[in-house]
Amino acid sequence: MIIDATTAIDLAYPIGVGIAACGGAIGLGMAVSAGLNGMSRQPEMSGKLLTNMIIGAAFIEACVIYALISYFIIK
Amino acid sequence: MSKSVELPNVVTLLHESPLKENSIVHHLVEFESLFFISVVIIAISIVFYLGTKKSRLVPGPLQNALEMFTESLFNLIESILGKKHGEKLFPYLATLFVFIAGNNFLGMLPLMKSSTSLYTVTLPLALFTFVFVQVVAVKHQGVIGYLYHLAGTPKDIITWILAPFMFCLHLVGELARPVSLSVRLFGNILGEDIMFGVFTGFGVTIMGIVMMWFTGTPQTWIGIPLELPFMFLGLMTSIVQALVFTLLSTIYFSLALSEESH
Repeated sequence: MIIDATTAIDLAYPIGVGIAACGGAIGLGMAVSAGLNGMSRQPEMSGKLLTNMIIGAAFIEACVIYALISYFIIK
Repeated sequence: MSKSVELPNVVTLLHESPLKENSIVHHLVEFESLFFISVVIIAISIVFYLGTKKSRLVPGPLQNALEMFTESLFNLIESILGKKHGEKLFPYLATLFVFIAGNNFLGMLPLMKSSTSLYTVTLPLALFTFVFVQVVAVKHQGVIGYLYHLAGTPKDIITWILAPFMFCLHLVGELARPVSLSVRLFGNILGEDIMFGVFTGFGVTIMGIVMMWFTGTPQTWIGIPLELPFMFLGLMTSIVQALVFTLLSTIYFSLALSEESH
């Protein structure tokens, strides 16, 4: 069976975005766990740690968002 | 981008109504983002005007809220930039925050659209920040100092040999900033809006099937508000994305300004 390009993209892209989300989730989990560890050890620093953690989380999730955007653009 | 799955807004509804031959409606469709940006700017102006119209030493509720918001944002920016530069750059950064947060929230009101889900809005915001950062860096370090910093502050022979490569590396790093800033905001808000659209569609479909069970004909005028949980998530995303844009701009400014110390 031969599938055309549109079908191939429709099949493959969600899987690719899923893989990207997998990596992003692992990275986010590590970042947040490290952040919470630091915050629980030193509660007086929690404000600064939270800000930096959110910036890092934004960087991580940006990678997943790039995958999603490329899907919207190519569709 | 072929087909849109976002919820309909005032402009798209006007475009599908009998009024679509009208030239004003035609222009409104062309300049959709400007219309929604104007709505946001007018709303923000009214809120801040009402809050600061009668400034008193003992503030009313609205004035109190606005003062608390401004002060906490100022403390955050000051803690990164320092007192001297923080006071200078605070107006620009706070405007960015309020503008982006307002635009993000507008997408959650019925018949409205987040203009930050259009790339033509987020790219100018990021480019403006990029140019402003470069201007501040050149003003602060001088043209020679700026180029020296871009080449990786070479000191001995090996770093001087590596300087051209470091220059290219830093140049690409600088140019990637506006792209990543704008695409992050655009992608998050567009994804959020599409999520609302898709789940509203699900709700209407499910309700239509249930109504067909009772009445025998398909009904699509009512739906289950399945998008409601995502709206609460969207409240958080809107604030976080505005904060991330502002904080990253602040950090870029602080990187441009901090070169005197080392």
